[in-house]
Parts: sequence; structure tokens; C-alpha cells
Amino acid sequence: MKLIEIKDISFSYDNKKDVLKHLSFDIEEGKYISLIGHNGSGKSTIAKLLIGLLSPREGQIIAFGQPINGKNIYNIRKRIGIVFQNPDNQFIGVTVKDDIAFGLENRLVPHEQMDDIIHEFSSKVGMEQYLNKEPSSLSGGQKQRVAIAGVLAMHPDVIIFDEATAMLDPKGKREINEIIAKMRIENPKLTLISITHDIEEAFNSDEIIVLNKGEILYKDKPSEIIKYEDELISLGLDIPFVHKLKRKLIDKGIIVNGDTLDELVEQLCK
Amino acid sequence: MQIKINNLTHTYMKGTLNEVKALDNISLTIKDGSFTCLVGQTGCGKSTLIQHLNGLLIPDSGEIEVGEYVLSFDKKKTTKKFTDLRKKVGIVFQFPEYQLFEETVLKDVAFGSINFGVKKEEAYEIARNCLKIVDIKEEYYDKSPFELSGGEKRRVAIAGLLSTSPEVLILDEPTAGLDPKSSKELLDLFRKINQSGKTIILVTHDMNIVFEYASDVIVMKNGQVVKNCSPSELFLNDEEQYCLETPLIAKAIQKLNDKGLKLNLNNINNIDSLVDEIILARKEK
Repeated sequence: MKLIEIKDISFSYDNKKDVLKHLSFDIEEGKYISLIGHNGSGKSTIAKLLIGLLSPREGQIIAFGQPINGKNIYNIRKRIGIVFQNPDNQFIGVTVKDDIAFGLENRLVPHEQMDDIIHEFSSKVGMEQYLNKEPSSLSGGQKQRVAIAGVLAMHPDVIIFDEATAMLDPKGKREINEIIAKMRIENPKLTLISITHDIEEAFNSDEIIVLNKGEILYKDKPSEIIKYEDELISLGLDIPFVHKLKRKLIDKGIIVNGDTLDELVEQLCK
Repeated sequence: MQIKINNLTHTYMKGTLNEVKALDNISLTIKDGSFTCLVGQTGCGKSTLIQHLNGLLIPDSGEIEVGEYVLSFDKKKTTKKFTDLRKKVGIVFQFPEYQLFEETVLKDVAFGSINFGVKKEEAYEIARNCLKIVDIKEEYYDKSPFELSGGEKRRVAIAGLLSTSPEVLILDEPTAGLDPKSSKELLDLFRKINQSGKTIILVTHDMNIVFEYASDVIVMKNGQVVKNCSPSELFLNDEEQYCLETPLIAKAIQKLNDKGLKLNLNNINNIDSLVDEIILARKEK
């Protein structure tokens, strides 16, 4: 089922140069989609258009069956959550509890229900012990977990991760990725859009959208996207390590195939 | 320039209930001309350590020797004038784009040397050279630094650091949030600067960078140094992984090794040398 339809949108920050040019694509329910492309390719602009922080100059975005406009944007935002890159820029509350409550207060959730909701979602991200802590005493990974709890508490249909793990250490990153995996198992209808520079992470998603200069170059399953590895490399994007190694070996006359490191190792050690 | 740290301890909010011992009796040597990576989980003390290296923080006990300069908890032992230390050791913090402030790119880069007493004209000349090194085009010199892209802003901030010609360059997560191409360009630039004889200290969470670029790696945990060795020693010989991610190349080497393809580890530091070694090892087999 199509959850969001992006129809021929163009966008410009300064009314001179379009940073997105006649973009069209659909987002299907329950899919995990990665958006990749170099800095300035328009990835974050798409995220901001989807949550109505920006409006397209041309074209239309249809979310949950209705075109996004000034009247329905607040209803649409209830269904699309976003986690940004910098954990320090999205902490609003004085304590972890206040921070998760902030979104609920905005949605006029009755006070009696709030405590239960806060406990449920803080424990989902493993932060129930920290409810009365101040943000300054948390690590970056813990702050991002609170941000995710705040988003989950809204029961969104779609969550956008805008480079949400880029600033975290390997442990923080692993924890966030585990929470995301768990969320998807608990709610198979949840749709995820991940904006990332981590190519290994992108290749774990259901679908990859490759953006370049505000246009979509490819939109396909990872196994199809890798067929354009020459193009990806010439665009300055990375390809997964296994494929890089495979390419270099083939260049030197060692013919190997497969999509995992184990498959390559097996053939090399024969 | 060699950096020697002896029994360095630093405690935040000392004497209060919120007291945190960020550095706990650290002793280590950072070799002159090395490309040293500083790694460890958030909160392990990396940032506290680097802020000591140019005197932004003062030790609670212990001391730091940077070349001839001594920074000690004991004021009497500390060499006079912090500017002498800061000329030798330059830091680019995480998100250096926040460090930019001047009206134009050129003025921003020249600020540091003017501040250290270099005449304006000479400072602009130096700034131009440094902007060339980081590959910022001339047409950008008179633009506001805030009009540039993320990667360009970082390069401008790094040019600002280069303009004061420090002996030691400290870079805190310089590639976070950059796309793969900009990230590689920046790292190659640091390698070039390192090869010209300067010492590089790079803080990073990306172990692939450590494996490919570092000559030495320092692992910190709970305010202490738990390992100071070469990347291949850390990732290939040490059983304990200190909660670090194994670099992809090291993973491949281990798997090949387990299956009986013995590679000469000393020769491998990137994917090309890995492929060369695989070819050699297969021939020998």
C-alpha cells in the first residue's frame, strides 16, 4: 500500500537554483528505505518536505491519502516522526521524562495516561532508569534513544532517521540499530526512512534511493542497486566493502562472486 | 613534536556531589611525526585529554611536555605564556563550522596568525597559501564562510589552523556527517600534512579510518589509557576488543587467516594492499 506519494516536486531555497528537480516516488507501507547521496544532494530537504517544515515550489506530496497543506499538516505530523543527527539539538525537556512528555502534551494526551505511556516507551529504548536525569548527564547515544522514545510514543506510521547515528560511537550506533530492528519486528507496518552516509547500513534496507543533484538516479532493492557500482563510485559514493574487495580482486584477474565476505573468503582459500 | 604525558589526572566539579574523574592518572607518549588515533566510547575522556594538550584545561595533578613546553598542575613548573603552547598545538573541534565567525573566508583563516602577532599583509598571504592546500577556490575567498557547504566550512576551519603552522594538529571527529568522498579527501589531506613532518592526533569512532590511516592508536576507557599500539596489533593480535568495532579489512584478514590463507600483516593497511597480499599468499600456496 502506498503510504506517501511524492509527485513531481521541485524545491528551491533561494528561488534561483532548484535543489530538488521534478522528483517523484512512492513510499510503501512497512518498507525500510535508505536515502543516499553526497552532501548537498537534497536528502535532508526531502525529509523536511515530508514533515511539512518546507513546502515544495512545484508538485505535490500526498501523505496517507491527502495532499499535504497548511490545514492538515498537524495531523500528518502526528503520523510522521523524525530523529535528527545532532542529539543536542532535539532535547527540549529539562529531564528525560519531560522530554518524552513534551510531544504528548502537544497532542493533549490526558495527564493520567501520560505516566504509563512514558514508562512504556522509555523501557522500549532501555532508558526507564534515567527518567529524572538531565540531558547533560546523558551520552549522545542515550539522548538519541530518548528522542526515539519521544517519537515512538506518538505511534507514528512513519519514522525518518536523518543521519541519526552519524555522531554516535560504535556502541551507541549498535544500540540504536538494535532498537530499530526490534521496532520493525514489533510493528511490521512501521515504515522507516533512513538518510545515511553509511553504505553498509543502507545495504541492509529493503530499498535504496540514490539521489544526485536533486534528482533520483536509482530506486531499487540493494541487490539491484549494486549493479550500478561503477556509477555509484564515479558519483563519489561508496559501495559495501565486500563489493569493493570483489571489484579489486577481479581487476587483478582473480574471479570471485557472491554478496558476502564469507562467500569470497571461501573461494579465495580453495 | 613529541608529547609526553605523566600521571595526568583531571576531575570535573571537584568537591561537589557531581564530581567526575575524567582522566585517571594517565601516562603516555605520542611520538613525533606520528599519525595517532584516539579512540574509545563517549565519555571515556578523549575530549578532556585533547583539551589539556593546548592548555584549554589545566591538570589537577601530573604534567604534559610538548617539546620544550611544560604544562603542570604546579604553576611554578609550567612554562610561561600559553600562546607558546597554542602556537605549537592547534585543535579543530568537532563541527568546526561553529568555529568560523569572520566576514570573509580569507579574514577567518588569517585571524589566527594576526592574533599571534603576524602583520596583516603577511597573514593574508599565509592564509591564501593555506586555502590552496585545503583546496578552496579563489572565488570563495571574499565570500562569507557561512555560505559554504559543510565540507567546505571544515576545510576553511582546517586552513585557519594550518595558517598558524602548528607542529601538532588535533582533529576531533573531522569527518562526522561528511559524505564518503569529502571524508576521504579530508583524510588524505591529513596524511599529506603528516608526511610533511607534522604530528596528527585524530579522535574518531570509525575504526576503518584507524586501520587505514593511523600509525599509532590509543584506546581510552573510563579515564584511563588501556592500549597504545599500532592498529594491526590492536585489531589483529589483541583478543580483547575494548567494545570497538572491528575494521572491515581486519575482519576479512581474520576470516582468510582462519581458512588457511596466511597474509603478511605488516604490509596491509588498505584494501589495495590487502588484495596484493591475497595474490601473493595464493601464489605461495
